[in-house]
Amino acid sequence: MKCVECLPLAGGWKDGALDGDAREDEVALHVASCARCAGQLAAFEGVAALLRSRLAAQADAADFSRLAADVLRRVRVERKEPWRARASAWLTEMLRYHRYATSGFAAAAAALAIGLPVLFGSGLGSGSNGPLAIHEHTAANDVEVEELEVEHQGGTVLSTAEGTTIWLSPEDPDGHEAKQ
Amino acid sequence: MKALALAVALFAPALARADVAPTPGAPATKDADTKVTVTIRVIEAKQQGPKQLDPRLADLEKRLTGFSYSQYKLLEERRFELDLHTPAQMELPGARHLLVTPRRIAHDDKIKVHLELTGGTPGAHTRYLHTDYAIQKGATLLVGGPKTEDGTLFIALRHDAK
Repeated sequence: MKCVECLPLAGGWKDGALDGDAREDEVALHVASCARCAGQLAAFEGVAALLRSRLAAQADAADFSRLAADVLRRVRVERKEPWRARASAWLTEMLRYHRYATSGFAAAAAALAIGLPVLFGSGLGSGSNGPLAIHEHTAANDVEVEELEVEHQGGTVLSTAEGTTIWLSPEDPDGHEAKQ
Repeated sequence: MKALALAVALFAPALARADVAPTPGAPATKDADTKVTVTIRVIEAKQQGPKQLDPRLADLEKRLTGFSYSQYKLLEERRFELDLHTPAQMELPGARHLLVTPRRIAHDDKIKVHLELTGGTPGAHTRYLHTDYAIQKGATLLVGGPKTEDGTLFIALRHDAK
């Protein structure tokens, strides 16, 4: 095997992608006997390790403690769809895409009987006992960011039970996001 | 009589909305008479060292400690009494400049505010954040993330209307 054939396969070979492949032994043999390809492979591994450590560092620095509250807040916004629209969408989906599963009238009636309270219960009733009701008490609405423009860096709005924060993610001169 | 009833029916909604959306350039009387108090606190957060919260930031403890910093220090606090459409201006660390302009009091008593943050990197006088927000009286908006020499900057903006 020549270097030009080996190099494109070397990374995959190291990751086990060539296991059981006829070329596995050829690549192994070539890397063992070719200093240039062995050096290139070491460089690949170095870059991969660097990327892994950088991603791990970014993941460690990220704050996910407010994630659940933020997701529930967005769910709240999406739930404001009128109940007629939700009913229409639900019925359309049932009749068009699940017609085989609900072929009998009795099955459709049963599905309606079960589905309607689930669809409309939390929207029309005053109880709001389901998990969607949690956001009512977790997301603050004392500040509403109506327009946000951020230049040269990233920006996001974090809204939690405690309040709202506009978070700017600075970038260093090389374009890498700075660690927090 | 029918014509009168029809006219009332047609114009009543427009009349009812008149105080919600004033004509551009002509703020409602309520706006003109209202002053807004803005308290701006500039905070520096650091990751190194033991956990430490400036006692003057006690009211923000829950919000600040949600971030992954160990120390929070109040660098400066200023209070502005502003007429609507009059900006509060403040110099911030890192050659940054903050401009906060209350624009109007909304029908639901929220204060509509425009905020601009300029300067810093990559060049002075660069506008890198501009935002419009509506804030409940007494509430605080946090802006965080800009880097300082020693840490990360937080700006706490509290709004009150008289």
